[in-house]
Order: sequence, then C-alpha cells, then structure tokens
Amino acid sequence: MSIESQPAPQAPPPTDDQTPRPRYLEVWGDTVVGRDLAVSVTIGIVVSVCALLGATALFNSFVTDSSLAEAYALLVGIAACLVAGVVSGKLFRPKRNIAIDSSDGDTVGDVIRVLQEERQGLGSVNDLPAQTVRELKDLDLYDRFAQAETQAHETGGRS
Amino acid sequence: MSVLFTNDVLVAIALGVIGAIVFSLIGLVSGTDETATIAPLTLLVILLGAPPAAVFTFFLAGAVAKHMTHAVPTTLLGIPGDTMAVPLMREARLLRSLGVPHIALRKAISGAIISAFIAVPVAVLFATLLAPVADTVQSVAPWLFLVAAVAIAYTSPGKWSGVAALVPFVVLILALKSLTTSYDISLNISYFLGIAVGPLIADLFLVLGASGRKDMIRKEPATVWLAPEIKGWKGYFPNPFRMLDGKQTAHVAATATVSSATFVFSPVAMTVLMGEVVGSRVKQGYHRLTSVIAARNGTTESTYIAEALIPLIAFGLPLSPVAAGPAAPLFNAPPVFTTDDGTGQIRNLSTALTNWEFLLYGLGAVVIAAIIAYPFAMNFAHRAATLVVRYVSHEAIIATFTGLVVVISVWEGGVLGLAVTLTVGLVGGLLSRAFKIHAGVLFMGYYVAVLSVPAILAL
Repeated sequence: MSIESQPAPQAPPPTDDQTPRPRYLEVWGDTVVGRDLAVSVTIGIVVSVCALLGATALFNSFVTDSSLAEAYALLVGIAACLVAGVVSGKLFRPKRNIAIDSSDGDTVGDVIRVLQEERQGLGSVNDLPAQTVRELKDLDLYDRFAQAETQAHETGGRS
Repeated sequence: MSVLFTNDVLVAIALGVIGAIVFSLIGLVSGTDETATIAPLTLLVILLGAPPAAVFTFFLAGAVAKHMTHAVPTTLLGIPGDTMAVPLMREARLLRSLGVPHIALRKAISGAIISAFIAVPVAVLFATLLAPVADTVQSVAPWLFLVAAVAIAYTSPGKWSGVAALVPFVVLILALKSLTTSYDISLNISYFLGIAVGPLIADLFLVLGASGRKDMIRKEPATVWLAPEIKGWKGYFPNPFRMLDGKQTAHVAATATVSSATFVFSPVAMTVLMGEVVGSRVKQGYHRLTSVIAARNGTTESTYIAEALIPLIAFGLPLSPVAAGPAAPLFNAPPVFTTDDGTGQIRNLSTALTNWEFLLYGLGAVVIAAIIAYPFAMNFAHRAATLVVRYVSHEAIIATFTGLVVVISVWEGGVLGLAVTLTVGLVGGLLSRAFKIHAGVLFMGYYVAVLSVPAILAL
C-alpha cells in the first residue's frame, strides 16, 4: 500500500514538538480544520440569510401573490447555500489522505482465508455458473480459487 | 399553490430528471445521509408548488439514483456512501482486497436497477391488498404510532434505553409546540429539519467548546482508499443482466420481492438480513461475495421504494421508518400537505394520486433514475469518486448544509423557526449519539407528540 499524502496548503500536519496540538477535527463524519470550518459555517449562514431576507424584500415589492413571492425567495436562499458551498470549496482544500491500493502483499490469499472460515466455507468452482467462471478467469482469479480449494482438501480443511 | 408549474406529466419528467441528477451527484459524496439530503430537498420541491405527481417522481427518482451512486464511494473508496450503504461494506472491502472493486460496483448497481424495477409494481400490489384495512388503521393511528415508535426505538442498539430516551424528546416537542403557539406561529418543517440534520448541529455545537472538541481531535486527516481504475467496458449503456449471472439475478429478484412486502422494518436491518439469506444459499466464496453485494444493494432500493409507497398508497400515514424519515415531507409539508394534526384530516400525497398514478409515476421515476444514474455510475465512477475526494472539501459540504438549515427554518418561522430547529437538532443529535438511535426513531417521537399524546390525554 502506498500512501500519497495530500495535506491542505493552509494546514500542514503538525511535524515538530512545538505544535503538539492536533489541528484536525472530525465533524459530521469527515476531518476538517477548526478555523476553516468556522469560516465556512459563517459564510454559509451569512450568505444564505442575506440572500433570503434580501430576496423576500425584493419579491414582496413587486410580486403581488405573497406565497409566490415567498417561494421565489426560498429558491434564491437555496441557491445562495450552493454559492456558499462553492465559495468554501474554493477557499479550502479537502483534508484527506488518499491511499492508492497497489495490491502488494497477498491480499487475495487473505480473502480466501476469510471465506474459508465462513460457515459455508470456500465451496467449489465446479458449482459456479458458466458466466461467473468466465468472469473469474477474466480477472485472473480462477486459478487462485481452484488451487485454494484443492489445498484445503489435501490438508483436510473445510472446503 | 401550483402557480409555478403547469403541465403535470412534463413537470414530473423534468423534476424526475433533476432529482436523478442531483441525487446521483449527492450519492457520490460519502456520508450524505438520506434523511438529511432527500427530506429537505423534497420539501423544497413541495413548497415551490410542484404538482403531486412531480413531487413523487422527484422523490423516487432521487432515492433510486442515490442508492445506485452511493455504491461508488462504498466500493471504490472504502467509505460508506450513506446509511444504507453500511451493510455493503464487508463485501466491498473483501472484493477490493481481491483487486476487483469495479466488479463490486457493477454487481451492486446492477442489483439495484433490477431490484428497483421489481419493487415498484410489487409494492403497489401489496399496498392495494392492504388498502381495505386502511380505515381501521387510520382510526387507531395514534396508538399505532406509539407502538411503532417504541418498536423502532427498541430495535436501536440501546434497546430499552433508546425507548426511554424518546420520552424527554417527545416532551421537548410538546413544549416547543406550545411555545410557538403562544406566539401564534405554527411550525412543522423546522422540526423535521432539526431531526434530519441533528448530528451536524450537535457536532457544530460541540466543536465550539474545548471539552467537546477534545473528543473530535484527530492527529491525521481521514484516510481514503482509492482503488485503481480497471478498464474493460464498451458502449455507454451497459446491460445489467450481463453483469449478473442467472442465479444472481434470481437472488436479486427474490430479495427485492420479499423486501418490498416487509415495509415496517428498518431498511438497514432488511438489507443486512437479505444479504445473510442470499449468502447462506451460495456455496462458492467469490460467488457468495458478488451475490451478496448485488442482493444487498438491490434491497437498499426495494425496501426504500416499498417503505415509501405502501404507507402512501394504503394508509396515508407515515407508518414506516422511510415514510417517517426521508419521505416525511410527502406526508407532512404544511401548508401543502398535512396529516391529521389532531383533526383526523389527511391531505397529503396519498390523497392526491391514485394507485395507477403511483404505479406509473413510480415506474417512470425508476426509468429516469436508471437512464441517468446507472450508466453514469458504470462509466464515470472512478473519475467522479476521485474528483470528490480530491477537490470537494468537507467544509464546503458543511457550509452548504448550515446555509440550508438556516434558510429553511428562518423562511418557515423567522427567529423562532431557527430556534426550534437548533433546539430539536441539538437535542436529537446528542440523543442519537449517546443512545445510538437514528433519525427515524426521532421522527416517530415527533408523531407520538402530535398524535399519540393528545389521544392519551383524551382518555
């Protein structure tokens, strides 16, 4: 596995002991940086509320049906939320490490062992429909499964 | 209020297309919970005055599309696309370790498309069979909601503690209702919104203070695993039946049918259960992985479709976790849709469309979602997933959602609306974190407050 780290330009990960306080926060299922989050939330609230209130005043001044004017104003408010999202997206880069699988190590072997330990075991490639046999062969996995199966038989393990 | 729109069928198609595109994109963003995204946007479409058929098409096309593209982050990035994608994680991870994440994705979304087409007619049929008992169901609705709330809360990991946690939440709703009434303001959307985005609101409150922030600090940014792109694709519109073999198609069809009939259970639980049933019937290991992921993702479609359609058609009451959660605005979006606020009157999507219309617009929504989301996910999955993890920051997503919360609640009730949304969101979010009860439980709590409590007090 190779990990290609992509630290955000504004927030390099703490490297020296002088800044031991970690900067990342997990909010709503992903990591953010506190200051960026504060700015983003402020942008989100200010932009959308100003748009909503401004649009309400504007449409009420010339649209006679007040419920229609309110519906238009809501639409403008929602559009402003998207604008706020785009602005925040432009200002702040994602804080995520991206790891790219290079599938080194014997991960296939690991999976086969996991499957062998399941209640139904690894089973046999002879039970497979022709389409799935073809699929496995295309993926170069057929031999691995067939091999694991015969080995399991020889060692008396569950098949 | 349908002043903005005129021709129903055309508007339905147009909104179906918009819903499918918007939710195909939202599905790519990991962790975008269905209730937090589908409910507010459906509400918006209703409030803008779209005709009922178009509202329904938008909702269903969106939900079906999202449950196809949610498989993209789940299989390629190893992070669940949304709540319903969590049961797919194990098979997705094992298939990724085999070096075939693209197979996991193809199996999952091909299962989804087949399942969605089966679920609509089966759900309509089942709802038609249940319709004769609808009057009885409606007359005992307050008690049904009480039982349903307790049952759904009990199925949460906290069991009885989940049920107990619901009591103060119901009291809170009652208190807020009487508070707003004293100012002659009647709110509804603000409550739903608060419940739907509760976890976000709770997190934002907690992060303000040092003690709450302590638990959220991470040394490293989140790690996202990006699977390599594996080509092997011709043409634009793939044939889902070629992606699955005969046995897998049969399993998907069977689980879709069964899960379309069981509309009262938690959709996540059904997804797990259907996967287990299929897994126990497939002997070979690799075949088991691919069959289970196809059946599970198929179930995420069928259970959602049925849990929205059956309560709509048969009862007109949100009597399922999906109907009480993501589909809640279809039942209750004042002033357009209202469901029995103590008066016994039902005026929501269920009274606006006939069974045939539900069937036809339902199938139409699935067709639209299939045309848009299926080839998109099959062809551009890798590129789209890469773009999202590399360029869309979580801050941007949070900015959009905080804006959405403030705009909709201020729009409904001004400062009081915002206060209600924040209160319900904070309390609901903290409850769901501490007691592991999901938004569906809290929605049921809301209905207990407005329906069951008056009935109990009237005894």
